[in-house]
Amino acid sequence: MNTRSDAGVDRLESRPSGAERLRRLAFGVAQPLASVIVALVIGAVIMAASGFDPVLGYAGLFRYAFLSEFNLTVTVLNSVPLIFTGLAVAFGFRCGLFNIGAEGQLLIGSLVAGWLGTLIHLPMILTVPILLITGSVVGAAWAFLPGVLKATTGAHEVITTMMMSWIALYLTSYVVKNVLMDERSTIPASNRITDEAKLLTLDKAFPFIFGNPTRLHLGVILAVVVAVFIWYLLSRTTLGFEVRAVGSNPFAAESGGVSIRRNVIYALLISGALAGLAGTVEILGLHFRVFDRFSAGYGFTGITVALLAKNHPLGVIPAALLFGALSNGGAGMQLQAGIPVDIIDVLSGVIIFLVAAEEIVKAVSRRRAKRLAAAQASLPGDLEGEGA
Amino acid sequence: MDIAHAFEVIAAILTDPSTYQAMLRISTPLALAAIGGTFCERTGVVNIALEGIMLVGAFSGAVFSYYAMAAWGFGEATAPWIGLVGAVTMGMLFSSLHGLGSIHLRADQVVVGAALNILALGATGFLTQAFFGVAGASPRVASFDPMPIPLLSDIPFLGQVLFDHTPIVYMAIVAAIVGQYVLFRTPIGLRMRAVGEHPKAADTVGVSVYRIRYLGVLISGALGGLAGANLSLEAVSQFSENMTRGRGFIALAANIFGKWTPMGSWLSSMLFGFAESLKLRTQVIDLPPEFILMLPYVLTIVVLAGAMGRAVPPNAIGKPYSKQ
Repeated sequence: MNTRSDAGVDRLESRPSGAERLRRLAFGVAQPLASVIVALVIGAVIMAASGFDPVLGYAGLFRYAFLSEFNLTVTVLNSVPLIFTGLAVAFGFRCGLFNIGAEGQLLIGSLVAGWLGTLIHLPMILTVPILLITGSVVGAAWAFLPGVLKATTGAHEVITTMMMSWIALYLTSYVVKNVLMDERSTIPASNRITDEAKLLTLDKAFPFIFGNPTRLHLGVILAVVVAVFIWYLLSRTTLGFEVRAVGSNPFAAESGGVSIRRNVIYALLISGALAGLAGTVEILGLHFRVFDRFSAGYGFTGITVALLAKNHPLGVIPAALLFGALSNGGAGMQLQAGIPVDIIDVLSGVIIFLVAAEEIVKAVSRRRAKRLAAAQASLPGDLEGEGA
Repeated sequence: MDIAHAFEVIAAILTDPSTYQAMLRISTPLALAAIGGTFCERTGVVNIALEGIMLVGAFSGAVFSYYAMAAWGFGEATAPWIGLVGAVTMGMLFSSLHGLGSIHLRADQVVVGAALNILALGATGFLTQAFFGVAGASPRVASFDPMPIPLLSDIPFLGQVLFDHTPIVYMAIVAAIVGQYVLFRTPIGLRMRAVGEHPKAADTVGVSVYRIRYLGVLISGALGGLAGANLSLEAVSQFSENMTRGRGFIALAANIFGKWTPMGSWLSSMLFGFAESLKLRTQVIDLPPEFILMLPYVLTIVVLAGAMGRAVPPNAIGKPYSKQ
C-alpha cells in the first residue's frame, strides 16, 4: 500500500494573513469540540436506548474525572503518557505516516529503561536523564526497521509497526516473566527501580509552590515541555519543515530537493522516541517497576488523542486531558450508573470518525453557499436559479 | 534437546495430518477477512477496519445464535445458521459505515478504519453487558459441529486435513476459488480492478466509482462478518470481549503478502495459520510460548522486507474519489 495518510497534512503555502489564520484556528478548535459534543449526545442516546440513565452517567463521569483533588490528580496522571503517545502519533502523521505501533515502542522502551533503572546507582541528576534517554533511544530503535522498510521497499508502516508492536508485547512478557521476575512478587513484575531513578513528585521538586504531598511528578512538566519542543521543532526548524513538506506532498518535496526517504526515517525515529519516553516516564514516575502489560493501551489511545488534536503538538495537551478524564470518569459511570466502561471506547470511536469526516462540515457549508448563491441569482428575476 | 531428537520431533509434527487440519482451521478467519480485504482494496478503499468488522461479526453471530434458541424457538442445529446470517448482515451494515466515511465523506480511509476498530471494541463490549448482564463474555451459545464430507473424508491423510471441518472452514476455501474467478475472470471483477487502478477512466466509460467501491466494502463486511462467526460459532461457542485479538491486522498483512489476490490471500493465511498451529505444540517443541506466538508477526516483517518480491498495491488505493 502506497497510501499516505492525509490526516495531518498541512498546506505549505505562503504565510496567510492574520484574519485567515484566526479563522483557521477557530475552525481547528471548533470542529474537534463539536465532534466531542456530538459524540457525547450519541453516547447519551445509546445509554438511554440500553436502559441506562445518561444524566446520572455523565454526572458520574464528571464527578470522577474532576471533582476532588484526588480525582483531578488521577486525571492529570492519566493524561501524561497520552501527551507523549499523542505527540508520537501526531509527529508521524505530520510526515504522512500512521504509527499505529506506538504501543510496542512504548513497551520496549520502558522495558529496557526500567531494567536499567533497577541496576543503576548514580546521582539522581544523572540517573534520570540517562534512563529517559535510554527509553527514547530504544523506542526509536523499535521504529527504525519500519522506517527503513517504508523508505526502501515501501512496506506500509501500519502493518510493520503493528507487527513490531506484537513482537514487543510478547518479548516484554517473556523478559518480565523469565529474566526480570521478582521472586517475592505475586504478579509478573520486575524488582523496583532504585530511588535515584525515580522522578521527584512536584511537592519535593518545588516545595515553595506545592505545599501538600502529591502524586503528581516531574513527568507532568516534562510532558508539557516536550509538547512545546515538538511544536517548535515542527514549525520553526528546517527538519520540521522538511518533515511537513514530505507529509503534504512527497513528490513536490522530492523535486524541491527534500529527501522522502531520509525524512520518513527521521519522522518514525522521533515518533518512536516519544512513545518510548511515554512508557519510561510511567515507570520512573508512577509504577517504579516494569510489569507485564502495564500499559493500558496508551499507544492506541495516543492515536485518538493525535486525531482529536488535529496533529497540533499543543492541541495534544487538552486532547490528552480529555481522554485522561474520560478513562478516569468511565469508572465513575460504571460505579454510579452501572454503565459499562466500554462506552468510553464507543465515544472515542465516534469522536475520531467525526473529526476525520471534515467533509460533513464542508458539505453543509457548501450546500449553504450554493443555496445562498441560488437565492441571490433568483433575486433579479432570471430563471437560471430555478432551472438548476 | 539434542539435534537427533529435535529432528524427530519436527518430523513427527510435519507428518501428522492433525497439524495441517489445525492449520486450515486456524487460518479460516484470517483467510476470509483477507479475501474481504482484497476485494475492498482492489476497488481503492483501504480497509484497516477488518479487525472491527470481525469483532462485530463474532458478537452478532453469538447474539443471533443465542436468541434463535432462547427466544425464537429454533433448535440447536439451526441456531448457528441464524447466527451466521446475523454475523454476515451485521458485518455488512458495520462496513457500510466505512463506506460512508471513506467514499461519500471522503475522509482519510485509514483514520476512519481506526475509528471503527475502536467503536467496534467499545460497542461489542458495551452490548455484551447490556444483553447478557455480565461483563467480558456471552453465555455459551449453540455452535457448529464438524461436518465431515461423506466419502472424501475417508481418504487417508487428505481426508482429515481437508474434508473434516466445520462449515465456515469449507466456505473459506470456496471464497478463495470463487473470489479469484470473480475478480479476474468476470466483467464485475474487471470493473472493480479498474476503479481501484484508475477511477477517472472507469468513471469516463460509465462505471459508477462510488457504487463499485461500496460493493467492495460490503464484500469485505460480509466476509469479515463470516470470519467473526467462525470465531464465536466454531472455534469456541461464545463471544468474549476483543476475541479477534489483532487477527484483522494479520488478515490485512495476508492480503498484502498475497499481492491483493483472493488465492494469494488464502495461501498466505495458511502460512500464518501454520505458524499459529505450532503454538498448540509448545510443550513438544520446548520453546517459550512467547517466541512461538511472535512467529507470524516476524514472518510478516520478513515478507514485507522483500523476501517475496515487491507487492504492488492498486494504484488509486487510499485516494478518495470526487465526482466532478
